Amino acid sequence: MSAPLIWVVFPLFAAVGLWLINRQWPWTIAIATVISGLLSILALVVPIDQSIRFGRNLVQVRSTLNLLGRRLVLDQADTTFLVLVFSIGMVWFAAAWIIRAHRYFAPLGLAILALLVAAYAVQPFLYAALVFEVVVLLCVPLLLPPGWKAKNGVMRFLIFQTLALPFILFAGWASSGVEANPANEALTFQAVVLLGLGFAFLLASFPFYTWLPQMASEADPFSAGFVLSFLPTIVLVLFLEFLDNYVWLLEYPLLPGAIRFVGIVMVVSSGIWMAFEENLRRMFGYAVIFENGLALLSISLLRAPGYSLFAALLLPRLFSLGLWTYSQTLISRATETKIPALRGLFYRQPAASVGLVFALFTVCGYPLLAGFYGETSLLSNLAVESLPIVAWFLIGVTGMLAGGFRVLVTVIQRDKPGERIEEHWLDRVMVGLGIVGIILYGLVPSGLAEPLQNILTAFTRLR
Amino acid sequence: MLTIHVIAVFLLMASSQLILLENRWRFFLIALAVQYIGVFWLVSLNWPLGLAAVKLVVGWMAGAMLAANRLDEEFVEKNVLADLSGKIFRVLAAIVIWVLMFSVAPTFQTWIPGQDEVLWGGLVLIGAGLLQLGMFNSPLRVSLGLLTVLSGFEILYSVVENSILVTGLLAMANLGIALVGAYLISLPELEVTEE
Repeated sequence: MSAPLIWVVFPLFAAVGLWLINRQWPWTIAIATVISGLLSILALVVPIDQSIRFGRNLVQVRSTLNLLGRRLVLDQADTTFLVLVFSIGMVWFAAAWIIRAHRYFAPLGLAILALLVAAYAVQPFLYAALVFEVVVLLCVPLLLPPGWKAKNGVMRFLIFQTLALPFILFAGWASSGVEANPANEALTFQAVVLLGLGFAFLLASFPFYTWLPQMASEADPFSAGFVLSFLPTIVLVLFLEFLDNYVWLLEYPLLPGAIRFVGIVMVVSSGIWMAFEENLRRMFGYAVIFENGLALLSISLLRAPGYSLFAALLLPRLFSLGLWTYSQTLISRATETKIPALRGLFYRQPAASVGLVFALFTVCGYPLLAGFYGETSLLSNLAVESLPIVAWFLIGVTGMLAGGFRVLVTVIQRDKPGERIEEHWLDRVMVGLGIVGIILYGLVPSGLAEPLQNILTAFTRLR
Repeated sequence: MLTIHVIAVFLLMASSQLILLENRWRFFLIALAVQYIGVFWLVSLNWPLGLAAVKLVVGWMAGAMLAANRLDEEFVEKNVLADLSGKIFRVLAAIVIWVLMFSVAPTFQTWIPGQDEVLWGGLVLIGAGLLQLGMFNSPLRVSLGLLTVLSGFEILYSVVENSILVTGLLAMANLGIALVGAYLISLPELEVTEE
């Protein structure tokens, strides 16, 4: 038995099975939750490439699965990544069960998680782009289930993510050329440009990010939250893997400046747009851009503290986007998501509005919430490198805060007294758990951030 | 020096132009079929014939998948660029793209060491596909645009890579785009179950 068989092939087959019974939606989502939870526990307890006693037999889970001459590799260093993906996946599926997500959510969601792990595990790296394209194609029916209309946002998502494929494949080819001939500066430049464009398309980074708020506002809000939480996060991890595989890239002198420029433009532009945005769902798109910008800024340090910050920012990012999605889905089912329509929301949907405000301020890095530790550490590290970057960073954060306060003031404005509360107790429990998680991480960041640092052990050259 | 393979480039130019201009299923299917004959021709210059034939088969299958549930209708769609002035605009835009692509081809040759015809064919398709993606937003046009861009890329990529697994995965991506396109086209009519 091999690790990719457990964490890639098995969930893929399970997803196919769930697809066949997709009309039994409460069961499919419950099964997906159990499978995700089980896979995350297995990642935690099963040692890879070591013998374990199973009754009278010795069993070994091998790290490598050979597939048509290529390899899928998941070794002991990758277990933190597996735990993260499948435990967060389990939470999403549990939330989908409570919130009654559409019937394609469980099969497609599980298949997407399995394929994202496959993209991470596949060697040589360039095959990840092809696997990722399949993920993108699966995201389309997830974002637009039957009954929805195809609009510009999802179309652009499909276009931009597909355009990444040629660039990454050519970058893979050019990179192997650079490895064979490191003195060829023209080839190095070509590889860096191709790679930069490929990842810019994949990550929806500046200037290819216009589709993101549009897609967030047009697709099924819960599915959009799932896609926009997982896809960019995994792309960022793949970016680290690429940096780890090609050492020459780390030594390219223009790289840190280029990543930092893209990152800060994303932080500032999303912050400014957030301050003036009128649609809550588009605001979510800007929050994703902001978080991606923060991650790029931490990677741009190109040294151990930067990578460590990237890992520390992962959980707050997933917490806040998850909580935002859940609250926003509850709100969108009861009312419009335009800011003026949210007046007095606190008195109709208290849990959803409180969850939304907490998620928003976590993205901003508000003190005592999950984002605070990572963002202040990032700020102090950036201050050592360049003060103007810090100034721009603060402009972005101020914009985000302005958007956050606008939402806060609107939801607590009371128009008419005696409004009825329209929330299910399970929704309150889910939002409550999210808020507790965010506060807990904010109070003891090191306790939760430290185990996540193990995700970096897979990247031996980045330490 | 020009060789007989330049015919394939003309085929690609004509077919991509027809896809851009036409809005009737019959013409669009014929144009897509011809486009993939051109792709097959140029890819076979660098790959074994059997492997290159995968592109042809996959392309035709993708066309069939896109058209499968609409063959009884005459028109693909109605759009704002359907009148005469719109068609003239589309032709002019395509000509501008061709000129641009032919002029950047020598620069590309320093990066990708392929024959002139292969580079021209690949770049013409990439340009035509991007033009389609920029002009239209309907699911069918987006799928066609993506298939065209990928075809152009596959022609260029055939110069540097001939792995069977990459060919298979790219074929899967092409068919996936066609399948997603067909899903998006029929999305408003799909059955919605009460959950």
